[in-house]
Amino acid sequence: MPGSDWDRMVAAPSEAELASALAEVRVRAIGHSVRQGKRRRLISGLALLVVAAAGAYAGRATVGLGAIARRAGAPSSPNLLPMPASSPYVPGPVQRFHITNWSELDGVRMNEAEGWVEGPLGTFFTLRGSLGERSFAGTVSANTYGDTTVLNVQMYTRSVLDKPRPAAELIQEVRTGRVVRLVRGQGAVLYPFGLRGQGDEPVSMIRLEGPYAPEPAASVRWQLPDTSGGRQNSGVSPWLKEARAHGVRVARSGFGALSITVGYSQPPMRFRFTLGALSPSVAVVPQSPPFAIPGVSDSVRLWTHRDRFGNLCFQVFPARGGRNAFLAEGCWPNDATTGFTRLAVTTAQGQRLTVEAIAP
Amino acid sequence: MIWTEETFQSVFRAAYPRLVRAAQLMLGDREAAEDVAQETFARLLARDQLVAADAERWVFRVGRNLAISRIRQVKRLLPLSRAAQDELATWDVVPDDERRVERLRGAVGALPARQREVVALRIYAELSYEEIARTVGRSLGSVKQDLHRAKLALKARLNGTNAESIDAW
Repeated sequence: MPGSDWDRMVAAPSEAELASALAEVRVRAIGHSVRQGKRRRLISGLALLVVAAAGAYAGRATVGLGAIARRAGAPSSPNLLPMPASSPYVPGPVQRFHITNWSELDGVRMNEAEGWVEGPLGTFFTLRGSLGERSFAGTVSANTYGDTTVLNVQMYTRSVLDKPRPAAELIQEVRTGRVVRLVRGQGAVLYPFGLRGQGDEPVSMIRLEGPYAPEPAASVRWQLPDTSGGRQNSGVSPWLKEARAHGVRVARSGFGALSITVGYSQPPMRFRFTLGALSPSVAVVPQSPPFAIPGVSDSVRLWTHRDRFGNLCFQVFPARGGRNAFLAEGCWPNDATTGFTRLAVTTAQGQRLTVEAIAP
Repeated sequence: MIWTEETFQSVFRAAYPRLVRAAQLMLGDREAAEDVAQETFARLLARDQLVAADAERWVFRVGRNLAISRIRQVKRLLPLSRAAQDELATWDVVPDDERRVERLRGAVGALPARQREVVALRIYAELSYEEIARTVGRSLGSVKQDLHRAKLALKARLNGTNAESIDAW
C-alpha cells in the first residue's frame, strides 16, 4: 500500500538485517525464558506448598512435602524414562594436545621436541624423557569445566643416586600428582626435575596445551599407536589397543628425546540432547565446552555434578550467562543411575528437552 | 506448545519488517525501532506458541506498548531521522524525490503522537482499521477519526504533493 515516498522515508529491512535480527532475537529470548522459568518454578513451588498444607490440614496427608516432591517431581525435575535399546551415539568433540619439550640453559633452548596427540574424549598420553642420568615419565589426561581446563598430571622422576659395582644401580623414584587448572587456550609448563638444574645442567621443561589445542601449523605425520611390538613378558597395554581402536593418533617433530605413548579410557558419561520436535540432537560431555542446542541457543554449556545425596545432577546454561541463568536442570536419583538413563525436562523456555545419558 | 523453527520464522519474516517500520515512524529512530522489534520477538519466542494470526496481533500490541514505553523513557519524541536531514543539508542540489520525501517526513513528524501511531500501524504494519483499534485499545470510530485527521493534516502540509500516497490509505 505505501507509495514509493513512504518506502523511501522508512526503508524495509534487508535480508541480511532480517537474519541478524533473528539471531539477536534468539539470544535475547534466553533471558526472557530464564525469567519465565523462574516464575514458573516459583508458582509450582507455591502450588506444591499449598497442596501439602491442604493435605496436612485435612489430616489425610501422611506424606510430607518431601514425599510429594519425590512422587510428583520437584519443579523442573526430570521424568525418568527407560533408555531405548538402540540409542544413536554421537561422538564427542575431538581433543587435541600439543606438547613441547625442551631444555634451557641461560635462556638458550636446546633439544626441543614437539608432539601432538589427538583423539576422542577419554584420550590420555604418557610422556617419557631424560636429562643426563635422570629420567621422567608422566601421564596426562584432561577435562573441561566451562572455560576451565583441568589437566591431571601423574608424574614420576627417576635419578641414579649411585652406581656401586657390581650391585645394581641405586635409583631414586619420586612420584608426584598434579592437577593443573587453566583457562581454556592457556598452556601449562612443567619442570620435571625442578625449577633449577643441578650444577651446570640445563632445566628441563615441558609445555602442555589442550585438550582443545589448535591444529599443528605445519603438516605433521600422524601415526596410529603401534600395537605390534611390546615386550614379551608385558604384552601390549590394553590402553594402547583401545587407543588404536578409537583412532587416537600421535605426531612428533623436533630432535629432542621425547617419547609419547597414547592411551584411551572410557569417559565417565556422555549426554545426548533432544529438544522438542527439533532435531538434530547434539552430544556433549560433562563439563562441556560451549555447544549449541538448536532452537534454544547457539552457545550453551552443560555442568554436571553430584549433589550431597549422590544424585547426578546437571544444568544447561547460556555460555554467555552466569551459572544462575540456567536453561534446564535436573537430577537422576542415585538409585536410578543404572536403570534409567534418559530424562525429560521442561526448559525455562517451556520447551521439552530430553537429556539422555549414554553409557560409554 | 513450543515454537517450532518453521512457525516462528514464518511469523518473524511476515511481521518483523512491518513492525520495525511502524516503530521507526513512531519513534523517529531506526535503531530504537529495531531494538523494540527485537525485544518484542524475543518475548514472543520465550512464550508458548501461538497461531500465526494471534501471534501477529500479539506482536503489534506488545511492540506498540514497548514503543510507547520507549517514548516515555526518552520523555520526548525523537526528531524523525535527523541524520537524513543533516545529510540533505549538505547537498548542493537536492533531487526532487528527496525533497518530496523530506517534506513528507516533516509533515509526518509534525503529527500528534496519537495520529502518527495509527498512521504507522496503517501504512507500515499494514493493519486493518479493526486491527489497529484492537492494537491501540481504542474504539474503531476513534481510530478512523485519527486517521482522517492525519490525512487532512498531511495534505494541508504537503500542499497537494504526495497526494496519491496519502489517498492510498
